[in-house]
Amino acid sequence: MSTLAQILGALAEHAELVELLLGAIEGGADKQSLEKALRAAMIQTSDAAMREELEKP
Amino acid sequence: MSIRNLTWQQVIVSLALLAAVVVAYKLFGELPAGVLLVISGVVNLLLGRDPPRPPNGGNGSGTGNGLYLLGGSILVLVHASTGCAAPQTRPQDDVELRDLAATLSKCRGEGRDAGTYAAYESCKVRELGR
Repeated sequence: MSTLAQILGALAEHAELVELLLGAIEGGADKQSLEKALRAAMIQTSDAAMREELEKP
Repeated sequence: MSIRNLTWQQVIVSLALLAAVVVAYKLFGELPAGVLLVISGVVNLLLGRDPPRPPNGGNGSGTGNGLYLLGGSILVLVHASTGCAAPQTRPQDDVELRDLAATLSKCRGEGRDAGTYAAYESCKVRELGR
């Protein structure tokens, strides 16, 4: 039940992202391309954060 | 023995169990052990109930057979769902994305320790090959 509550909480908290994903799926995006985009976004965000943190003068 | 001998409460609980199986499968992509345990427990409760006695004072024997059939059908559905219908790729995909998050976190730690972006980048190349 805690897992179910966690899932429902996450869905409520990130409703906009869920809508975005549903829109992408309805628009024809398949799971593999979504996963690829998620990976790229994770790496890009991490790179940007590290540049900001470590390359500041 | 037919399903008509079940009380309406038993029918409702059985339908609720079936609904729980479907919802759990849709939510998790598989049926978690906890859900199976709860379902098994409720089915056992159903099977363990004293069968309703007829008004003429008979012993009501045979009433439980319908429950055995119903409970058995539910368990067969449960096992069929977990054994055959569960998608095999979804848990792996989740783990891979979590692995990527953990790897990036580890590399950020290495970068911070060294104090250079190059250290972060080299860790990333080493761990992810890019």
